[in-house]
Amino acid sequence: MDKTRSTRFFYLICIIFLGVALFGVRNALAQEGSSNPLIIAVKAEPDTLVPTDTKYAVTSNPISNNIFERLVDLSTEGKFVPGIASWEIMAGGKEFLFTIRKGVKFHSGDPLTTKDVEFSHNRSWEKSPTYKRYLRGFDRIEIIDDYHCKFFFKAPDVLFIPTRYLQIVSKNYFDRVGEEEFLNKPVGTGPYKLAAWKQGDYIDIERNEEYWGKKPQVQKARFVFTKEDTTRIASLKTGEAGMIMDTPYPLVKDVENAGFKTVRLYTHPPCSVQFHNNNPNVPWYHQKVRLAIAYAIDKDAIVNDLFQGIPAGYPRLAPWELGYDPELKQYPYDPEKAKALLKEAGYPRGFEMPLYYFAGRSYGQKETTEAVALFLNAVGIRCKIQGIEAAQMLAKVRAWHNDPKTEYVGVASVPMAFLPDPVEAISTAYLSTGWGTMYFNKEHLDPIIEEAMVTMDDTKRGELIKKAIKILHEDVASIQIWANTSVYAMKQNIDFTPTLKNREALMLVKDVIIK
Amino acid sequence: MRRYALRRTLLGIITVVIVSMIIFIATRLSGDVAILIAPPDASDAEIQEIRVQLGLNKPIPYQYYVFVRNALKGDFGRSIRYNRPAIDVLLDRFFGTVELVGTAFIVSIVTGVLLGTLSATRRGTWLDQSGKLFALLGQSMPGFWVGIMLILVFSVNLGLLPTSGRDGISHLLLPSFSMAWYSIASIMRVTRSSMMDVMDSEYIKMARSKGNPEYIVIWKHGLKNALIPVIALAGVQLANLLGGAVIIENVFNWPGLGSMIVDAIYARDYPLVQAGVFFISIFLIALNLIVDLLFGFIDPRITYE
Amino acid sequence: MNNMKIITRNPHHLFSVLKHVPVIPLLLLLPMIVCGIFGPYLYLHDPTAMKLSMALKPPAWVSGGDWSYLLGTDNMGRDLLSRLIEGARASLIVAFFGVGFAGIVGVSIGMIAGYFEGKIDNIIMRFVDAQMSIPAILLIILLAAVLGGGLATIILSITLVFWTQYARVIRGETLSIKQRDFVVLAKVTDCGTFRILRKHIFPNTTNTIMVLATLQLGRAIIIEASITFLGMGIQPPATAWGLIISDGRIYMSTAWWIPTFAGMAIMITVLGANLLGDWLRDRLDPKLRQL
Repeated sequence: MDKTRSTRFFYLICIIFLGVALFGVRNALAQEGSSNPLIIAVKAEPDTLVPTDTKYAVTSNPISNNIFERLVDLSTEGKFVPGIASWEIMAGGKEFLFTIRKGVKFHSGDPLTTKDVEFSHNRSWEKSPTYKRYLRGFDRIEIIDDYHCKFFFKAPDVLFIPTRYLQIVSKNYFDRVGEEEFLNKPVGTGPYKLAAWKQGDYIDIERNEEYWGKKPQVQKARFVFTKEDTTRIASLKTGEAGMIMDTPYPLVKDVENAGFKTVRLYTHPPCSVQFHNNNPNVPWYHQKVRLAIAYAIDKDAIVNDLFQGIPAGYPRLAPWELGYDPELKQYPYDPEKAKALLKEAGYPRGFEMPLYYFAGRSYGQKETTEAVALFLNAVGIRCKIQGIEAAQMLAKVRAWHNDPKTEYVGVASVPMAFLPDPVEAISTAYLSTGWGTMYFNKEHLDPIIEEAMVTMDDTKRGELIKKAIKILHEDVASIQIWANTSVYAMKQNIDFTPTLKNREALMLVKDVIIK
Repeated sequence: MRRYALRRTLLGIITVVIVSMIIFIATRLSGDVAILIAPPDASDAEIQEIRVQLGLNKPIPYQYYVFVRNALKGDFGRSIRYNRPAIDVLLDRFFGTVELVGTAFIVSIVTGVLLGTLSATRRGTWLDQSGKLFALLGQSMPGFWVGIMLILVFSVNLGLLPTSGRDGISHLLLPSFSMAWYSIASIMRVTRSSMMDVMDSEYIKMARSKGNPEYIVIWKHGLKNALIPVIALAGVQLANLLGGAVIIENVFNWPGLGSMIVDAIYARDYPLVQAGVFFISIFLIALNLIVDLLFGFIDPRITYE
Repeated sequence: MNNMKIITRNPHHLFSVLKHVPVIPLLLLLPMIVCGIFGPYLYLHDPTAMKLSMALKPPAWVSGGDWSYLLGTDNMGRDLLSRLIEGARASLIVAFFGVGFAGIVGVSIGMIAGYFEGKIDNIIMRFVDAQMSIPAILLIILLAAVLGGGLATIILSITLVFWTQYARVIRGETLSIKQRDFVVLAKVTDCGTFRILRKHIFPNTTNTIMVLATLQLGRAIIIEASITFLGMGIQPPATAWGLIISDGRIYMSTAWWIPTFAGMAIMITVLGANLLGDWLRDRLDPKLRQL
């Protein structure tokens, strides 16, 4: 008798728990109806939304570019178009005259003038070491009047327009509210304004009704930060999120099969095998060995079987990029030829080789490294895989850069495809004075790249890029395995056009249409 | 008694100091934040400039001195990543963790005590066996795995509960249960054995002889006494749960301290790592101190060495 | 109850207890131990042999499966069963060495603290307190950030995090054992300190150590998986269960067999270790039940 009583008590507790659970469900359902911003699940939270101050543009720009605008605008097809300003290139690319659009207002009500341009430039210069890098040829800025200003460079700069590095913040607003509020309540000229930011949770934006340009359809949007890939996918499947960014390759088909729409955007950076070739004592110093490695890796299998055909398999550049060479083909998969080449080079029994990669939480590089190592083992190159976490790897790369004793082969994101202009890729990754450079070819390559950097004419520059890439390819400076594709997934009733040719994969809500 | 309390407090403070040193040294050894935020082609001089800006060019003991001096004033420095006072970033996230860990704590205590009592009062029945198995299973699976499974079953397949975020009770259920499940086993075990001791005592026999129904005897008289060792475990349980929060907050996209600290470690955001870990440790040390002192009052058997 | 009699009659004799073999826990632990030790003789396929064209084949009994890949293949077309067998070894190494080193360090320090008391004890115990007030997982990620990920790091960090529990418990034991007659006697006969610790105190703590170590085995495996989940754990080409499950979680809804079987491997083993630990605790050292 007593036993049944205590069992009853147990059931009672269970029922209470269940009740709480059901209450929760009702809560959730009730919320669905009350207000409906478009919910977009992204992978990471920005460090700040103020574009002049961000240290992590990759996570900040996709969201902040709804609020702030750049001096040079970009259409979704990747054309540089006048937005808040139009420009004229003068003096063979050494001077850029900007004319500010009249009547543009910041969300704070302050009108946009050249003072803001100057202020934004100065602030970026001071706050962002990366900005300083990209404008390395910058000489001075001249304010002509409220709506005209001119940038002067020491040498012609082909990258100033395409990289669109300057984003505009308000000087008046800064002067009025001071540093803290300027950072905490960012104010731009964009089609959306910041409504709320709950740290670690979400960012709300709402439509700027006084926007100078075309009025976007979506009124409110919320970015939630869902780091865990499986959870982000789940939140789309349950309908909590209307859209998600960065769908991992293996799940794209799954999401499509579940009845969702996907949109793909070719975006920086590609994934390549990279060699440090300044050390004459390592096997991969010899072109034949590098060529053997290129033949030994089945790039198509990695793209098609491991990543289910999602990323792009271009050997270097994509057909629509400046300097694309239709003649240039990926080295085919041919392990026998690889073995023969190794024999010719004097390594009939292969050798040991380190294979580094940036360990961390992003999908792709680790898997590629594993696959590359397994392909290379098959031809006798015994890989010692070493996954090193970003902060430590960057320190190593710095130390290695000019050290002729370095032994480094790695799977890394070497810039090439899908940057605003290919000159940026070849000048940062392959100029022997450049950064991250592991490839040194001073006599042949440097003059071509240096010339391309100051050649404003597109056709001529295209030829130079083509020439440089051909040398890189024949010399097997690196082996591009796949080029990154960012996959947006969304409900069927949502249309979204991503923006091509921006460095980061943007999430511009103005290009979303809900049917 | 007062001497004991004083002594325990003093020891607590020493522990806090040691913790701060461990964290401080570990963060400084973990890599150079200047290299991480500088552009890859920055010159050594530019990197040094960033270090100077962040005050990282000074010797570590001096940096530690500065840290302590400012921490005593409640200033934990500026987060390098967010460029806001570390304490502000931390406070934004703090209540998220309190809510999650608090709920998980209650869930684990309630379930653990319930199962422990049932197991003690009906040894060998199916209820006892399945309760034990349930508790042990929770201890046998990685938390993130449990979390992902729960999302798959309850959110994606059954459509009952939301997957992520912090927005009311419904959002709290899955993450708090994923965390609590791990702790249930040890709470159940302690409850079970202390319940078994209590049920054999004279006091319970007396309660029975008064004609109280058995369930009153068990759930009122028995449990009241059996709970003391369970409460003594609270500190250890909370430490475990806070550890679990680091994982679970990542899975459920919960805005709390755990996911913040992990991100900060990756970004080598020293001030934020220091502030976060330090905060959690102080909380745990204080909690243990309070539990110790309370027991000094409650349980006269504890002697003050 | 039967157990209770054993405890009262014979509380400190390991071997007399082992006559009653804990069948279920040992059965659960068996696969891991067999695979960990004899792994290389059990593979049906080379666990590193990749065939990308064979990627994501389902288990044999599901349509599309292949009987030569009993549990299916992973994203690189490697045989999942062979990988799990291979992973058992790394997980076993992590658990065994991590817990073992922690035991050696913790027991030595605990005995020293308990035996000498006073200043040494005070200093040691403050470190123990400090470390126990930082959640283990946070401390391990911090250590991994300092040392870089990998097998050795995980073993080292598990050692650095787990030793405190031994130190605390063994210190307590030592404090009470050294009051006993035989230790006092040994002191009087001018035995060396080291000899006393080794010959008289240590043998009396073995039961406790056994119980603790068994319970920590399971925890070590879980921690290995959790750290790998957070991105700082074991790196390929090493294969551990934690790596398979955390890399495989992305396939939960498309290739369920990868995370499911890896998860089951962990669950079964840790359950076995925990059951064995419970069983040992009930018989050898019931006062440890707070762990």
